[in-house]
Amino acid sequence: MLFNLALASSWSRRHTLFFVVLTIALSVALLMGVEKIRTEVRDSFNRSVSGTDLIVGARGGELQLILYSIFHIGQASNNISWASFELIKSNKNVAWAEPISLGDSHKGFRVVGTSSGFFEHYQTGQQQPLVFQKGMAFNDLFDAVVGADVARQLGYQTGSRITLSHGIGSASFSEHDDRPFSVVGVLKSTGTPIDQSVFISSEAIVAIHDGWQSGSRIRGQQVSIEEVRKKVLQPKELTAMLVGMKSKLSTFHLQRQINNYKAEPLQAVLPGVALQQLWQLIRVAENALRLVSGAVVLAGLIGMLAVLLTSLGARRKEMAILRSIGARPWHIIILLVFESTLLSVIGTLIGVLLSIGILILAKPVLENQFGLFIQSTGQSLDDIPLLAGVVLAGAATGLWPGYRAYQMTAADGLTARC
Amino acid sequence: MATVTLDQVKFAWKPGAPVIDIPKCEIQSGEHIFIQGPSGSGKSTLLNLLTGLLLPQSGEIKIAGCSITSLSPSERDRFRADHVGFIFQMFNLLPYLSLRDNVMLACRFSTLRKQRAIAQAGSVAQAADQLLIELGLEKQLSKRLPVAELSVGQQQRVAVARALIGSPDVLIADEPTSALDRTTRDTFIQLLLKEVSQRNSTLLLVSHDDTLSPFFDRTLSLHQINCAGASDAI
Repeated sequence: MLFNLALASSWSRRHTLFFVVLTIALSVALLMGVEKIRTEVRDSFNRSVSGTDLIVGARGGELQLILYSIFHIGQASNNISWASFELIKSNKNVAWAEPISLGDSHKGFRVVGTSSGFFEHYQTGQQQPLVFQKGMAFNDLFDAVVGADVARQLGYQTGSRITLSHGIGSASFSEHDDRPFSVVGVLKSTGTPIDQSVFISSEAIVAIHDGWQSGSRIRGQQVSIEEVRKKVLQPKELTAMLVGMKSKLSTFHLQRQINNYKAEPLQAVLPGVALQQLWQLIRVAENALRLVSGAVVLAGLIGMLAVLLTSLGARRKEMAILRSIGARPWHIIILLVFESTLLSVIGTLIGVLLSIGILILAKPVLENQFGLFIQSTGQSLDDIPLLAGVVLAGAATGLWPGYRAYQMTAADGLTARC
Repeated sequence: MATVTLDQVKFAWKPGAPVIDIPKCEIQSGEHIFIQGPSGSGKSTLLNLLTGLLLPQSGEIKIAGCSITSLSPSERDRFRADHVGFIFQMFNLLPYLSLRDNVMLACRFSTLRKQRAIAQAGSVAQAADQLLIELGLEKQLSKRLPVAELSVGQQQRVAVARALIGSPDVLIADEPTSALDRTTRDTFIQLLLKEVSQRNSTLLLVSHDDTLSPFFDRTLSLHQINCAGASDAI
C-alpha cells in the first residue's frame, strides 16, 4: 500500500525523475559495455589460435608477431625467406608447418596466402578444426577460400568470382584485376579473424604479383593467365609460419634453435606466452576502464541523491500530510528508499538494454576495425552481482534523503505551511 | 465524559521560555470547541502536542481515555492514525492521488478506521464516496477531476471527508477557513459542524478569526488557558 503511494508520487514527478533514470541508465550501459568488451577481448584473443605450438616470423617484438600473423593487426616489419620455412618444416620434430603470406586484401578483408594444409592444421577455440560450410580447400592456382563473414557480408558463394587488391585497406588503388579468383570454399564461422580472411595458395600470391615491382605494375609487361600458369611459381618469401610439433617437449628446443639461427634473423614464439604478454599490457587499460566506468556510476548515483534531496523541499507538505494521518517516520524513510530503489532498478534495466543495443550496432565496427569478435551481445550471468551492486547502492542512496525527510517532518510537525 | 484532557501540560522549545503552560483544560465528548488565539500564542505547538507529534516536558494529555503522553513515539503515531482526524490550513491533499484516494488515505495507516468505514458503508471506497457526496462533491467525484482543479473551498471539503472517514474520536482543524472568503467560509463551517454532529465526533478548531466563535458550543481563548503565552504574545 505504501508502494502504490510511492509509485503515484514518483509518477507525478516523472519529468524530473526521467533524467535521473537516464543518467543511471547511461552509466550502467557504460559499465556493462566496458565489462562486455573486457571479457570479449579476452575470449576473442584466447579463442583465436590453438593447436599451434610455435609461430615463426622475422625478428622483432613477440607480441607484434602474434598480432600481425594471427589477429591481422598491424603489419610485419620484415618477411622471412622460403628457405628458412623449408628448413624448419624439414626438422625431424616438426609435425607440420604452414606458411602465411600477408599484404593483399579484398574489399577490406585480408588475403592470406597459405597452403591447403592450413585448413587441416589450424585450430580455434578448444582445439576445434576449421570446417567448410560449403565447398572445399583450394586446389587450382586461382581458387580462393573465404571466411564466414566475408561470404556473408559480400554475399559470396562457391563459384563467385573475385579480384584482389594490392595492399591493405578497403580503398586500394592497385587492383590485381587481371587475375580473377573463383571461390571454391566457404568456412564456417569461428568468431576469430579467420572469418574475415580470404585464403589463396602461396603460389597464387606469387602469380598475382608476377609482372609487378615495388608495389606497382611494370609498364608494358602484360602476362596472360595462361603464361602465368606455365611459370614456376616458387615463393621466395613469406610473412610468418605456424608450426605444429610431434612432441610438445621438443617445442622449446626448436624455439631456441630458431631464435639462435645465424643465417637469418628469425624468432619463434609460443602463442600462450605471447598472449600472456598481451594480458599484462591490457590489464592496465582494463583497470583504468573499470575505474572510469565505476566513477560514472558513482556520478549517476550522486546525481540521483542531489535530485532526491532537492525534491524534499517541495515534498514537505506531502510528508506532513502523511504524518498527520498516522504515517510513522520509517514510512517516510521507506517512501524515499523505495523511490531511489525504483529509479535504480529502472535505470539499470534500461542501461542493460542500452548496452546490448549499442553492442549490436557496434559489433560490425569492432570486428572490422579492431578485429574484436563479440560472440554474444547479451549480458552474461557473471554481470548479475555487479548489477545487483548498482541497484543496492542506488537503494542505499535513498537512505540519506529519507533520514533528512524524517528530520524535517520531526521539526515541522503538522504545521509546515508550504 | 471528557474526551480531551490537559493536565499541568508544560512545553518549552528552550529551557526557561515556556510556550505552553496549561494547568487544566477539559473538552467533553461531542463538544465543538473553538480555540481562538493570534499567531505566536502557541497554537501550532498546542496542535503538535494534541496530535502527539510533540511531547510535553511535564503534565499529561489524555484523548479518548488514553494518556498519549505515556505512549512511545510509534504508539502515538498509531494512536493518531486511529483516533484523530486532522485538517490543515490549506494544501491538504496529495496532488497525485484522486479525490477518492485522498480520502481513503486516512484508512491506510489505521486498521481501526478501515474496519469502521467498512462496517458503515460496506467498503472504504464506498465510505469515501458517501462522504464526498454528503460534502457536495458528487460532480467532482463522478467527473474524476484531478485534485489540482478543485477550488480551495472544495479541497478543504475533501480534507474534511478524509478527517471524518472511519469516524475518529477527535477532529482537529488548524485554521481551515483562513484561505476561504466569507461566504465560502460560513458554508464550510456549517457543513463541517453538521457532519461532525452526525458522527458524534469531538471538534477542536483553532483559528485567530474570532468571528467564527458564534458557530461553536464553546470558545476557549488561548490567552486564558495558556499561562505561558500571556506575557510575550505578538
